[in-house]
Order: sequence, then structure tokens, then C-alpha cells
Amino acid sequence: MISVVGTNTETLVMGGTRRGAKAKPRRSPLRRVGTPLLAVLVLVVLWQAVCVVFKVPYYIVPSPLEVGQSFGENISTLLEHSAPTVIEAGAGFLVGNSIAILLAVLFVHWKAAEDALMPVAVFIQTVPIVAIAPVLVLMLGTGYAPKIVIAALISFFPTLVNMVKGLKAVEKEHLELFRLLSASRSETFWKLRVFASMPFLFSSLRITATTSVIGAIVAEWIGSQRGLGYMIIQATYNFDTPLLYATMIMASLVAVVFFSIVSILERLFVTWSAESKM
Amino acid sequence: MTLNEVATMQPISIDNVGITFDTTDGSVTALEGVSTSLDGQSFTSLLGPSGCGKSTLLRIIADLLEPTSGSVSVLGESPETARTSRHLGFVFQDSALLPWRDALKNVTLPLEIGNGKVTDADKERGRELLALVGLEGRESSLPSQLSGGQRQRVSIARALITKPKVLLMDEPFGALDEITRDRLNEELLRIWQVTNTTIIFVTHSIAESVFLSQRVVVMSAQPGRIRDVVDIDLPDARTREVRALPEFAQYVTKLRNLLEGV
Repeated sequence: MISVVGTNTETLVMGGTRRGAKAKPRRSPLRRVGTPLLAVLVLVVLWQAVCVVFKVPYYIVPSPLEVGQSFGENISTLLEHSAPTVIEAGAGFLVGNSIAILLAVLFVHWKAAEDALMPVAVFIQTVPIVAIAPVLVLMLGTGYAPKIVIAALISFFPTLVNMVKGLKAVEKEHLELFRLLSASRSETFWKLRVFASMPFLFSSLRITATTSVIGAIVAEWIGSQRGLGYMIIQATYNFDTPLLYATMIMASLVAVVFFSIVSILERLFVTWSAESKM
Repeated sequence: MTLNEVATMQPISIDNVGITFDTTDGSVTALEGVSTSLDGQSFTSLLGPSGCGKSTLLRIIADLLEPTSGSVSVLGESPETARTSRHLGFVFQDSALLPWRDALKNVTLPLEIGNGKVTDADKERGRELLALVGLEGRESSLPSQLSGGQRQRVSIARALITKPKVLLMDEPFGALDEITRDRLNEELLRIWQVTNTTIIFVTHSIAESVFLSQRVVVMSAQPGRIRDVVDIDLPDARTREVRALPEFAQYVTKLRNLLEGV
């Protein structure tokens, strides 16, 4: 499990500098995984040392051993409460991204729609999720619906912006080529724009894979009886700080799994782009 | 009209063409009063400094741009008719291959557009053309796996797959190193002889235009005009020895003087 965390942290960090760093010599797999793993290990040991040396009470900051113990004891509860969070985040991710992709396609073909609706999308984006959550609970009750809507809202905007940009990010000469060949609008769309947008789409899918989990958890803070968000609230009320930390670890594991799935899909689909070749 | 007549008729005639672009700094005249005509199955270069409108003229012939004044006829038709009936092939400056398609699928793209699918016969023709441009066995390579010269070869094969009567080339070897460029020049002449097309070749390299062309149209900038037309009377078999002939050097000097307005 931890080695997965290590490689993905690296993927995230490398993301910012990938362009231009093409000719970087390939490091051995041992160093690629080993170096971040070692760093994590050092930090954990340091954390344990600080807790022991300064006699930090467990309800303020638990030591890694206490967190590990709590994680082990509560693993079945943690897994049970992960299920609704996974469903909400997953459904929200799919709904939010699907609507964003469809809207982006509409915007690219119909400028008036973009002019009319883009400001609305920006406005929705500027309202804090924490403020929307209670409103949605009032409207939709305490079931899955409000959580899915919030996870969808959080996924929606980055993908809309990226997808519009991606569908327009077609090289001038490629457009000239399609005009020379008398290509129809749908041919230009399916054979050119869709492919050109793929790297843009996946860079936002990677972001929203993790933010949709955050959205689901925040939504569970309000009026919920299940889920990792509910567990976070419960652990905080009960001063069960080790369980709070264990829940946080569980939540980031869920996000890492989401992120990994999207990364694997990207490598399968976007085979031509330097972006996806690591 | 018999096939023979089509082949010998003047494929391209340009009559008093001008084009003006509206920019934020006012309007810019890119071409003014350009008139010339080209013979069938000839190799003509448009030579001039950057900004002389040579690529613009090529795009007017290809129906990618519309002239503000004057008229162009391609094979006795309007550029639009020539484009829609696929009589034109175009080779772009930086190959313009689709990076997600392998070499063969890039070459067969023009056949896919309009038909929706590619037949086995189309694929076979694509393979033949890749072999013609010297890329046998590289059918399934992605553009990112090919060198700049190889990408431009694929791009030429793609332009040829519709069997165009006129091949328009926009500085196709401009971004390549000199050794690759010289080799591709020789191969282009071989391909031209095999395919019997009329080639219009835009370049800013004097030596390249002399080596390749039967005729060089020298252009000047601001506004883009034709300064002179020079017929290149060198042996038909343009091997690399041609570059060493004294006549070759004379043509280069003559064109350079024309470009500099001496």
C-alpha cells in the first residue's frame, strides 16, 4: 500500500516539470520507489520521536504507533464507512465530469451558449462548497443525493475549463489540412478535436479524481450517519484523535486509488502524448 | 477534353491577385498585383524573404485564403472546385501529422475523410506510398518515433495519396538540417518524375530553389509582388553533381542579386 503512495506522490510532483524535462535520464526503479519511501519513513520516525521525547498527549497529537494501532483495530469500521464515500465520490466524479464534457462540446460549437453560460459556471465555482452543502441537504435530504451533487459540483468546473481549452487547442495547420480535405464538422470533431483535447481532459480528471473524494467527505459532515466524513466528525467529538488520524489516512488511500485508476486509464488511452509517457 | 489536353493545359493561372489583411494596426497588404502562370507537370519555386507573401499565395491557390482582388484558376476551375475534387495536395512546413495516428493511418487519412472508412486497397496504396518515400517497414511508427525528415516523408506520402494533379509545398524542408534537406531534395525530384504532378514549392533557400526548379518566381516584400521569373536551364537529371556546375553558381548569384534588388 505504502509503495503505491510513494510512486503517486512522485507522479504529482513531476507533473509540474514534465514538459521540457524530456531527456532526463531514467532512474532505476529501486531509486524511484525507494527515495520517497525513505523520506516517508524518516518523517514517521521523527514524528514518533517528537511524541515520545516531548510526551505529547495522544488526544492532542497521537504518535504513529498509536495511529497504526487504531487503524488496525478499526479497520472493519473504516472499510465499512469507506463504501458510501467511494460510491458518492465515484458517482459525483462521473456525473460532474460528464456534464462538463457535454457542456464543453456545446460551447465549442455554439459560441452564444458559451457567452451565456460560462459566467454562471464561474459563479457556481466561486460559492464555497462548505456553504452549498447545508443548502443541498435541506433540498435533497440526508441520503446519497446531496453528497453526489457536491462531489459532482467540485469535479465540474476544472473539467469544463480544461475541456473547452482542449477542444480549441487544435493546431492551425491541422485545421487547414481538414479544410483541404473538405472534412465535415463532425469529422473535424471526431478525428481531430476529440484527440487534441485528451491530454487536457486527463489532466483535469487527475485533479477531480481526488477533489471528488474531498467533496463527498465535506458533504458527509452535515446530516449524515455514514461515511468517512461522518467518522471524522464522530472521532473529533469523542476526542478519539488516533481514530481521526486513521480516518484521514483511509480517506487519502481512497483518493490515491481514484487517482491511480485515472492515471492507468490515461496511459492506456493517451499513448501518443509525451505528457502520459513517464 | 481528353486526358492529354488536361495534362498539357496550363494548370494554374494567377491574374492580378492581391490580398489585404485587417489587423489591429490597420490593414496590411500582403500581396499586390501578382500575375503568373505555370505549365503542366512543371516544378516551380516561389522564392523570397519572409513576409513576401509566398506562403499566402500558396494558400490562395489551395483555397485556404480568398484573394481580396484578382482571380486564380486551377486546372481551368476555381480553387474551391479544385480543392473539393481533391486535385490539390498540400505539404505543410512542420509536417502537420496527427500525433495519435501511426505513419500508415496518417497517410490514409485523406481517404478516410469523406468515406468514413479505409479499405484494404487504400491501406495497400498507403504502404506503397510509404515505400516510395523510403519508409518501408515504418508503417506503425508514431510521429514522435520518427525524425523530422521522416515525418516530412510521411507528410509527402499523405499529400500524394489522393493522386493530386497539383502538389503545393510550403517550405517543407525549412526546419531540417542541410544534409537531410539535400537528400530529400534529390528524392523529391525522383518522386515528382514518378507521379507526374505539377509542383509549386515555397522556399527561402536560393540553392534549394535552383536545384529543384525548372522555373523560379522571385518575390519581394512589402507589399508582396513578383520581382522576376527565372527559368533554370540545368540538366534534367539533377544529381548532386549539378550543384558543382558553374551554371548552378551563376543562377544562385543571379537570384541573390534579384532578391537584394541589385
